[in-house]
Amino acid sequence: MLRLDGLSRTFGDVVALDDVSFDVAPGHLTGFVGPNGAGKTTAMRIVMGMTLAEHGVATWQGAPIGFEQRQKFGYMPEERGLYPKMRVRDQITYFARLHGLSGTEAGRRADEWLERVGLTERATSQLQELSLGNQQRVQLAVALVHEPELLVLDEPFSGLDPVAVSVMSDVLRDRAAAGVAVLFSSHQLDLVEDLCEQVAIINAGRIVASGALADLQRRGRTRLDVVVDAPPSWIDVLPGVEVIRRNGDGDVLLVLPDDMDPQQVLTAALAAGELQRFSPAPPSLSELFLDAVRGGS
Amino acid sequence: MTSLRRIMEVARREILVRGRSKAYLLTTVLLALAMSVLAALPALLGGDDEEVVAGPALDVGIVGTPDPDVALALDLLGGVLGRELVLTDVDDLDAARLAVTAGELRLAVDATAPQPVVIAPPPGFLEEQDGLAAATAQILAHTSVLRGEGLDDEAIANTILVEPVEVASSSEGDAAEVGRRAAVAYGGLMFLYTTLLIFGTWVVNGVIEEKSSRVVEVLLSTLRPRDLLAGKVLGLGALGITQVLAVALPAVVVSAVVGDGLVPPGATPAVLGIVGWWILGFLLYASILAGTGSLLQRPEDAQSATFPVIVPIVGGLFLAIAALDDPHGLPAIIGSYVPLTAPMVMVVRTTLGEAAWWEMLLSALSILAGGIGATLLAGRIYAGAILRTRGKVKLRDAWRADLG
Repeated sequence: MLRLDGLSRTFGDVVALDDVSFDVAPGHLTGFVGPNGAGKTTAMRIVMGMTLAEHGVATWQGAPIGFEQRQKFGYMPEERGLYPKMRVRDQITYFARLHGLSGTEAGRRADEWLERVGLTERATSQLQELSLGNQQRVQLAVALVHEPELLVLDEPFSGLDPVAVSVMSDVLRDRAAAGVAVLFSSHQLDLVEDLCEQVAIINAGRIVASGALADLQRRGRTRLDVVVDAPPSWIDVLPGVEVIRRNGDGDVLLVLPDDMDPQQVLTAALAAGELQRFSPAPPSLSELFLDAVRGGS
Repeated sequence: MTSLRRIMEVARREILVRGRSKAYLLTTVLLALAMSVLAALPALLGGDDEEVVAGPALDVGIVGTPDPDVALALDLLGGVLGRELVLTDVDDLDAARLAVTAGELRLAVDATAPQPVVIAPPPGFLEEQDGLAAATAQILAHTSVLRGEGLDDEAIANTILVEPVEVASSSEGDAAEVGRRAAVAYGGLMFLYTTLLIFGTWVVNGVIEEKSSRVVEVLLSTLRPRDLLAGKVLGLGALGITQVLAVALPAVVVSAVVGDGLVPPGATPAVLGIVGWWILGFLLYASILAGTGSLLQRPEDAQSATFPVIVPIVGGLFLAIAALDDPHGLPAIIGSYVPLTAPMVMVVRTTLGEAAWWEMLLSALSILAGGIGATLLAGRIYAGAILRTRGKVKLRDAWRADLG
């Protein structure tokens, strides 16, 4: 397990990280989300030893992360970078060898990954001859070729076309299923919601929410999606209920006060008219994110 | 995986990627071919010294009809001098004096007198004139005396045309070898200077390339900065050494095969020593240049930023050229022990054979100490600056960087 424990870091007057703590468990995809400049990249760079934390510590399997442990990590930095004039296959092989694989094994794995990311036919092309999306596939292969135990990927989906997004998602799911701990940052919240069971939301250097997405969705006030064939005034009999969406034709999204039982709403709805829908409506990640970010700022 | 293995992997990549380039392969082969030809040139052009004609033909006037002894003596004169004699009949003594004074004839022999008389220009009028007149007079006299002893033409010729004893140069050692050593030293120096700058520039550009393409962040998630630096210097150094050997080995081998090549037999160890000075110099310059390169973002910044490093190297070139003239002068002595200038000065002094073993040792140690110091210094700057990919990094900030 990767644990970020009380990480703090400033750059001059700017507080990049302020007491940041969360866990990344093996076998799961953990989405790391937050507005631009919130501190995602700084936190990931601290894990990878590219920046030092002023306070706090990042640990892997209970021990502070050092150089030898990072050998078991795979990393895709925010600013992509490989050798522009080096051939694609040579590039992947080189990084495999740097991780201690033998020449033959490195070559075999490079071929496997080229096939996996769909670039077998470009094996002997120079990197700079590839489109940006394809360069990103090579970058992923480089991060994964040594079969790391932890993946730290900074914005792996940015700039990818839908086909490449699908390839990347499949690869990440597959790695997590194989027991790898995966931490990745993204602004594509729908994608994160689709892929991740775990999330960490950061705003202005502080973690505003983290844990299992399902828990976070349950944690707030109860939300109900109700469709009643009646004017919306039926809600007025329920004190403290907030209407956060009204679609005409009787469809409303309600947020209940903490002490209210949903049964009270059901009774009122049945009394108002024909009930067509009555279902819990947990907040999407986007909503959780906006709530958390607005609440924090 | 050990640090050493990672260093070797980095070096391997540099060698594979750059060594496979057509420019490098072509340059190396052409250098080796050019050096083979150059090394053989002295033997091809030199030929046999004894066959060389010492000078142009000599115009000699004859007044009257020479008796057989005078004719024999003039014949032998050409053999002794190794020059052809063109004999011209002159009408009388006055005409002979006039022609010699005017320079139309180098000298004349008056065969009308009972004893032949040599007519020469006034003393100092022409270079070697006095010697020529004296030699002519001597041979005429000897021929006459030997004839008086009853010797025939063949015996007289055998006596006069004896094999001369060897003439040695007054300077120490063989003058030709000294000249050739100077040529080798000069060539070695210019080659060392040029290749050190070329491969030094490769180091700077390689460092900037990794930084500007951002690959360095991926690299440093698997490598320590010092291992990356060491591997790069090692890999590019190996390519450099290959090129140095491509020049040095043909020079030595071809010279030995042709027997009288560019590299005199005694200078062979000194030429191979150039390889040693190259290695020491490269370690020193490459470390400093890598440290400098890590502060930069763009290749176009390289030239201005490396200027302060290049200046002492150019200074070393001037000191080394001074050492060619005076290998024991003060500039040469000082230059031998300042790490940045020592590789070049010592290439000249060792190739000339003008450095004692302890001087070489001391100089090598000073370069090595400088190299270790520079590596530590550059390693720290490199580690502090290499991950700062936004804008030019100040030396002070790189030094204070908190990366381990």
